[in-house]
Amino acid sequence: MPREPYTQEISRQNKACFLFLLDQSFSMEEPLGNSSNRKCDELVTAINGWLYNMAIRASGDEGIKDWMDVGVLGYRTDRDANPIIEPALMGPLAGKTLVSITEIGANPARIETRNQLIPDEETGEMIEVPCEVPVWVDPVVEGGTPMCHALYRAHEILSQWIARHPRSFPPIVVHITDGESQDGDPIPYADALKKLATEDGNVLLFNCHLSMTAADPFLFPAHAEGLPDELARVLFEMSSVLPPPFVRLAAAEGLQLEPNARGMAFNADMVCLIQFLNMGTQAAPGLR
Amino acid sequence: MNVRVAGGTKSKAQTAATAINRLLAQLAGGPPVDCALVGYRSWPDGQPDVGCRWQGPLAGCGFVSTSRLADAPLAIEERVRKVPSPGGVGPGQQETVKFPVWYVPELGGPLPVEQAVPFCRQLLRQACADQGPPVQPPLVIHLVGDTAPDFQTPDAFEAAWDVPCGKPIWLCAHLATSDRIPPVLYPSSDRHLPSGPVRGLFQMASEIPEPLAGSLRSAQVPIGPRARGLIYNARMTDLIRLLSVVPTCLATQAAGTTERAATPEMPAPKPAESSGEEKPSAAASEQPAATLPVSGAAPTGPPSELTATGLSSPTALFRTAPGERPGEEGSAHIAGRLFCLMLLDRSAQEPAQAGPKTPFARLQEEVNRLLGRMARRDHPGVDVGLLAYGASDTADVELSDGLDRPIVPAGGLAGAALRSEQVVEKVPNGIGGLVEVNRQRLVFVDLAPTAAVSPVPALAAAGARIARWAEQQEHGSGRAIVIHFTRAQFDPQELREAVEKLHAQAPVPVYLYHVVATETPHRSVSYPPDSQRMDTPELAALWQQTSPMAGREYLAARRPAVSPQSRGMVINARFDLLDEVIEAAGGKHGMPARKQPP
Repeated sequence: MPREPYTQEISRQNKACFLFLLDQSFSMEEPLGNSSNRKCDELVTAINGWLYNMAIRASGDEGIKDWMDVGVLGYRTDRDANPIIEPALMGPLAGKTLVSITEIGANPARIETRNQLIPDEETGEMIEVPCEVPVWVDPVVEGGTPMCHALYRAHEILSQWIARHPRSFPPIVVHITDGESQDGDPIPYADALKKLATEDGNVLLFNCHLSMTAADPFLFPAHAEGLPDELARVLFEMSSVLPPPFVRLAAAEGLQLEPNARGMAFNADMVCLIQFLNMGTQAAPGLR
Repeated sequence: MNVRVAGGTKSKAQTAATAINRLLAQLAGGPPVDCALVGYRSWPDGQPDVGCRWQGPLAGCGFVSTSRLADAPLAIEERVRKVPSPGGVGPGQQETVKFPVWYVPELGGPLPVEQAVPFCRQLLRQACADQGPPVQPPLVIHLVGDTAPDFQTPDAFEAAWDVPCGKPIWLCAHLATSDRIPPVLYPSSDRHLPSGPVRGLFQMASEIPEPLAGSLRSAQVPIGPRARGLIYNARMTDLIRLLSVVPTCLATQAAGTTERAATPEMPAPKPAESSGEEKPSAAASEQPAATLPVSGAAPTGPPSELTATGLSSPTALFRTAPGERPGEEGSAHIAGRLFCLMLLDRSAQEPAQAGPKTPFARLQEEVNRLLGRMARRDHPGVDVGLLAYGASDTADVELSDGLDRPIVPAGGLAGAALRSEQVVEKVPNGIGGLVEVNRQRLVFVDLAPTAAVSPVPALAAAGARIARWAEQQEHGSGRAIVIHFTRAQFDPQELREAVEKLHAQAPVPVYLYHVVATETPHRSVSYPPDSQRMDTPELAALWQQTSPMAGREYLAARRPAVSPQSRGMVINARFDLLDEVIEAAGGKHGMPARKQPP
């Protein structure tokens, strides 16, 4: 009997692959809903936090687990409206599209001191503690939103990766944007990307829309009808249906998803964005 | 006290001990205060065991000056503080800290607290005899187990305090064992208390005196008027928050000591002295201003023992600063007050439908959120009202007041809440992860949706309410903001009439703002400068009737969501600039405080 799709355990032989597509258009200058921080700053904070977590988790007792490839791709346009689609990792990894999580862990661009909010176990109060955090990605804002070009580039990168890892859990693409595509209808490009497949299933494309408005967020909607506008409906169409193992896992953690819920967040604030990244990661067995 | 505390890994007794030891460590570093630590429990044969629980070098002492604590801990433990990793995933970091311990819990059987009262009374009487009665009443922090107090009459506890210093200020703290039970924090009345021991504790707990209440408020704890010093089914955070204001209060008051000693009508306090066989501590006697005796308190536990801490209030701990009248807002001095009226439209397409996502539920949630925010911010010079309108059973317009009074000063809002709920919120931790924070959520309005009604009577009533408020203002001046929470399904003609009525009734300038939750999907919009992004004629008509944002030019330079043409309207979004708007409407920018003649 064939195995259920999306159940391939992640291992050194069957690596996972995460590709982030980051909107770097000018509107990312605006503040994120419920916050006074710019969307681009909050986004790279969330991405750097995610990379740090993954790097920590990859360094277990058995040494470094080389079980995941990660790419971060930024997209924007230059002054003449030419699309710029390029890797967003900085420092020693600059220019690389996909790198192993072990390389990520070993090569941050720099270490920064940030204030972390933590609950103090001795006192139960929330305190701000300076802590050193690695940084791989910096905020960039410029020009427009060439979403179709970005999806096309993602297709190129992932078809090569799948050729090398035919049995792996399929790649997960996490696309974070705050606006609509300015170089055409992105749905056909998203469909092409989602048609790529390993033996374990099709590529998963998850889309997260960031909002400047302190708006009601939509997380993992199952129908297009309830969505607030055309932009939300386009993102819905672009997003993969969450695979059954993911839905079961979410249910076990108390999040009831409707059947056919899609990997999508609309009007996200920082809390929603971080939840989205964490949930997206959990789609892959072994990272749960 | 031997059961696990809610949300923690340790027993209630250990949690309480950690809190006590931390408080003692803080007091050891501040101005000297006399302090006693009293425990009560029963032996296996049922005999009561009540006494001071100092151990180590202080064993056998009654009241001890906190200046002696630093040199006399029972032990200095190394405790490992866990610092979560970013995002809360993966191994956290650990940090070792020195933690002095004076008190280690030793549990026994349960004992009703009234059996501990005579011991505390004696301890106080002795201290008063040794040092003279304190100028201020002593402070008792009573850590309670699950044994109910059993006073024969409500007055029995009051009557027990025939000591020269009078009844101590008595604060009761009880820790929860289950996350599912909501805590009771600083109730002002016993009307909404659950039955059980908490009612007896309410009788014991004192009203929180003003400096302490102020400290708690500044720690984001909502304290209503006449709130009692009682936390029940509390989390450790609540306990720590309660205890943490004590050193702050002492330090503040100690700073004012010199001035107080010079005040002729105040008797100069005698030098500090420990009770029992202890000799006066040198450090304490060098600080004549800082000392008074104090009281001991006792807590109890179910299968338990307990511990208690008594704390003395050294100087004028609870004296009000000169010229300050407790309980009164300094508002009279502020020219041109502001009245902020929340107007809630209860209409719904399908009133029978329930759930957190219905438009009405979202509107009500936003009302509660904004009022809760105002309660915490304590805007001076701002009064608040809440009116809800919907259809009665006979399809007439039904108006209901959401708060207990038609006009409530913003500083008294916390006391006007229906109830307070503990919620766990996730907030960004600053480095790309989330952290859970316990928040107090105040509920001011909890109504059901109704069928639709005309907005005319409701807006007219809002105007009348503003008129009533304006009568109370000096020279009838001031301004008003009406925030109308609605699903925006009005006939445009009727809406225009309603808004005209509002302005006609109100004798002061009124800003009319709208918070909309739509019944059919609509994009989120905040503070729009025009009606272009509105998909229905009803929304466009509502925008037409919405006032420009107060302070919009000032805000436009700082907040990208605001333009110089912005109006005070949000659709399917939060009204997140309320504080700014209140400040601006309160006179920072532009609007005249008197209505201009037409």
